[in-house]
Amino acid sequence: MIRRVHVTVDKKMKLFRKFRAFFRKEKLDAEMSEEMRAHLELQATENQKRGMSADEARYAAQRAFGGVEQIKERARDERRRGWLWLDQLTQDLHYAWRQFQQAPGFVAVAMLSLSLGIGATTALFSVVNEALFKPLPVPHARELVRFTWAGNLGQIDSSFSDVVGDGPSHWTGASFSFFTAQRFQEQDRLLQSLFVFTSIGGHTIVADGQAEEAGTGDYVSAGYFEGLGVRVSLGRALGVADDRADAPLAVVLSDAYWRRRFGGDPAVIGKTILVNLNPATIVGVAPAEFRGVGAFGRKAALFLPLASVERINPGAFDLTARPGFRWVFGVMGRLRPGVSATKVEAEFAATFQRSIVDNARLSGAQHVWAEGLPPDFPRLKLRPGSNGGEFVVLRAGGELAVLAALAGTMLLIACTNVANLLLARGAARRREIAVRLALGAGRARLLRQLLTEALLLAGGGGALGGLFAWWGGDALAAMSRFSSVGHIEPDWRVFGFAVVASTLTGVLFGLVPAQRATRIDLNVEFQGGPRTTGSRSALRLGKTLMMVQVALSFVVLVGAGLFAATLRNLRAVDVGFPRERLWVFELAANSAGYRGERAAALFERVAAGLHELPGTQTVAVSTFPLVAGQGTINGGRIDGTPAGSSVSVAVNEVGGDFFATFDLPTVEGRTFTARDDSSAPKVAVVNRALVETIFGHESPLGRRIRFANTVATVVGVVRDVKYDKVREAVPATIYLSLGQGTGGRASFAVRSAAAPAVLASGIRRVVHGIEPNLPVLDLRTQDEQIERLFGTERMFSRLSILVGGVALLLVSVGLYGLMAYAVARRTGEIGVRMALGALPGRVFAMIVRESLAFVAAGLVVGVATAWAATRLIASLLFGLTPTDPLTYCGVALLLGFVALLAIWLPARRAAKVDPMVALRAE
Amino acid sequence: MAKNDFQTDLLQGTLDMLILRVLNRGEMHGWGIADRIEQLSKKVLSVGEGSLYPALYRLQDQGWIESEWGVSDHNRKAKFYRLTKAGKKQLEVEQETWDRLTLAIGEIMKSA
Repeated sequence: MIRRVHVTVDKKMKLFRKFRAFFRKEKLDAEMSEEMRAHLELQATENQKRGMSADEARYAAQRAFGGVEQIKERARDERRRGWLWLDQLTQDLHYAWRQFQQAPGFVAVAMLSLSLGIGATTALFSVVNEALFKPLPVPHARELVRFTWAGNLGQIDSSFSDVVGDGPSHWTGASFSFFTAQRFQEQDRLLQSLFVFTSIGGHTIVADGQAEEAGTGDYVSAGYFEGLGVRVSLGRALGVADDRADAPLAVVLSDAYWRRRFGGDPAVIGKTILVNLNPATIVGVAPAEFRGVGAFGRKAALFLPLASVERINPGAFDLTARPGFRWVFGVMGRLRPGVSATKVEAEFAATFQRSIVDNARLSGAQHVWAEGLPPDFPRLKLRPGSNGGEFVVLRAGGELAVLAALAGTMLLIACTNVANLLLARGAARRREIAVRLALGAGRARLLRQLLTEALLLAGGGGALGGLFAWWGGDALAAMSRFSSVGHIEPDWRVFGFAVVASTLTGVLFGLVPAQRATRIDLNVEFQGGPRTTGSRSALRLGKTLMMVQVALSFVVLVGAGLFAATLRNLRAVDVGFPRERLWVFELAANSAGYRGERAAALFERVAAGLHELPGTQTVAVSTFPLVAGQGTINGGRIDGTPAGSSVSVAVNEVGGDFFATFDLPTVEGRTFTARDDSSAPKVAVVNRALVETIFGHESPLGRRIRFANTVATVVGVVRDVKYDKVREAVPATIYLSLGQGTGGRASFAVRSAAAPAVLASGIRRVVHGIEPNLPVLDLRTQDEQIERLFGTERMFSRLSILVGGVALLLVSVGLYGLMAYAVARRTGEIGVRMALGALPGRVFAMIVRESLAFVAAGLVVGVATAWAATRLIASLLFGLTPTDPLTYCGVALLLGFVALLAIWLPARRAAKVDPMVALRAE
Repeated sequence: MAKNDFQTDLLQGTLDMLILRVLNRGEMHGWGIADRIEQLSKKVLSVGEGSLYPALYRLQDQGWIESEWGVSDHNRKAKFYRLTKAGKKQLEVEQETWDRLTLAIGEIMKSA
């Protein structure tokens, strides 16, 4: 056997020739004919030379040559051997296109179904992508690691933030104390770079004489910009010289804040602004895509040196006195080439645990784990930091799972719907497929043809779905509590997801119908026709798919019902005070340099000023706004009782007409007066819930309560109102006098009959008149405030109703299609029945009964599935159980009613079958 | 004498080699190639058109021969084929392989 050795074949030339051959098919075919004709002529001439007559010579030549067309075909095959698939693909596509043109309705419904399914899943994925997968916009993000820890916090006397509990007394967190972070920094040679950062919200920036709230500031250590590899787009980054307590304050602006506040003016570099009244020089502007590493939900407006955190936010963290107390500092690093994260983790692990022990010893704790550390003591864990490693994401895990389930169900419903459509279409094309098979088309070839059609549909649906996802992603993010993500920028991952989802669905819903369509017994097909037999199994499969669709829709609709009811129940909850005409805003006096008594005095002045506004009825001042998801919970007990008897108590410092504004008349004793100031003994007003939990039936008046290192004497008792959340019962609450408080930040609640616009400008005028450096923060109505708490519930309710509505639509379209097809198939049989005396009414009932049978089966499956699935969302519900019978019955009735509507028309058509016409057609 | 047509796989490779060999002497049209092979083999080998043209297209795709329309001896339009550089090299390789192969087969046939 001779082995071909390809030596110097120029591959590119070869490919080019093939390409040319592929696209110049007609021309090459013509040349081939020409060449063969020339061949025949030459042969004929030769024959003539040998003495044949002209005709004889020509015939002989043709005889010798054989079939010109066969030779051409073989030559063609030879020529395009490598391109046969492409050739056939264009054929398939061409043919699919013609098929689609014949059935535009089918294509429209199928595409719409698919685009809804694929669009929903892709939109969801784009949100998840933004949260979980997208790396930070820095070079070589994969080298970044985020320091985290896991273990039992029980014995550590510290305050933790962003901690995720997984199991009893086991927590995970990504923040460390300043003390620990400093110990890490001393060891930074183990990494290429190591940097520390923390975020603080609500900075007041004064620029050009205008005070304004700037949002979050990220305090970053010297190595931050360099370690991340972030290059400022203007000016310079923060460096070692800036990160010193005595250094002049330097600030880097985020691109967004720079554009919003300074109109993107490059001349801001070198400008001095006031950050919480501290003069700071703008030295740089961060690149547009970089918003800090706390990417998810916390986007920085400013970057400031870590060393200035105490100077700008006095008392916020108490770092000088207690550096190991507040665990709020993120630590990240960049690995050295060739050094694994595991190795670095091992190096830092001991440092981490020792720093906790050392801190406990330094702060004079009694137990310092002399007999060794317990096994569940927190351990260091280095995690990939390419996406910033934010932990908020983990907490959002449950919500994302519900969203994923919703989107997945939608995709599944869309798939079953299209599969059913294809099934019906395959049955309608039986004759055509049979003819093609009879003419010698290969089964595999036909299968491929049908799959091509399915994939083409999926591709179209996917493209349309991608468009939905494009704007849907933003809408979804806005609806969700991830609204701070802002604009969703779909990247190649989202695109890839859409492509994979479309292809998978195409194969998934295309394969079975295609297989079925090509499994035809030609004898049966051409003898009896498809009217009587053959399509039964297709119908059975169709009914099964329909059942699945009904079941899935039931689950989604039950979810929608439960979420909607939850939202309604939450809105109907009595928070304990009238919400009408109540306006809320905050003042951050600490950022304008006010603390303690001075702050309290300022707040009273503002309250007095607000009273002067026309229409004002009452003005309340408190540390925390009511029912706004904010507050502080401490362990509290009657003074003198042992520490073990502590119960959780909520605390709020209040002033102005707080009790009048929130309609809290005293049940016993008195409320605060102007005499309850810092010079007077500390007094407390408590609510009934506290009296019941701590004092039982005794009168609390005059008793002393100890909490959070404070002791206060109870002087009054008031009614219960909600504290921070709507969902939870009213906690035991202690109200302290603002005049005796320490807070530098306060929330105002103004009850006023004035028009909103008038009131808003009035409030700003009053505050500005008293302290020009104090912006009015977040002015909103109390109703808006409460509604904000329901973000998650609102999102679920809206989304599940949307998905449920689409599911209902798809089910009714699917049902209608299936039954119309079934009736068409059975026209003959129905004709016979009618000829034998069946009344139209009975035929109608028969069709309805048959279809309702599998709808009912779907409902049964749906109830069982929903029963199991809704358990997973039990914690998200309020005021009803996941197996709420009313919701289940309502949804079943709704689905049954819609099914009946969808069946009505086909059943009517069945009842109107004219036996004569039907039998004649047979 | 029974005529052998190049139909089997084994001989198809040989046909390619023969075509290359024939074209090595100069350009020629399809009919001429078939005629020449028949002449040279003293009418033992006959190249059917059903094998010839697919082989020509195949060789052309490989880049070993190229074609051009021209006028034949009888003043008729015909497509002429000629060897490319790559084709010349390929012919050398095939010639060498063929020589080795026939030698080897010859040895076996002699000894057995």
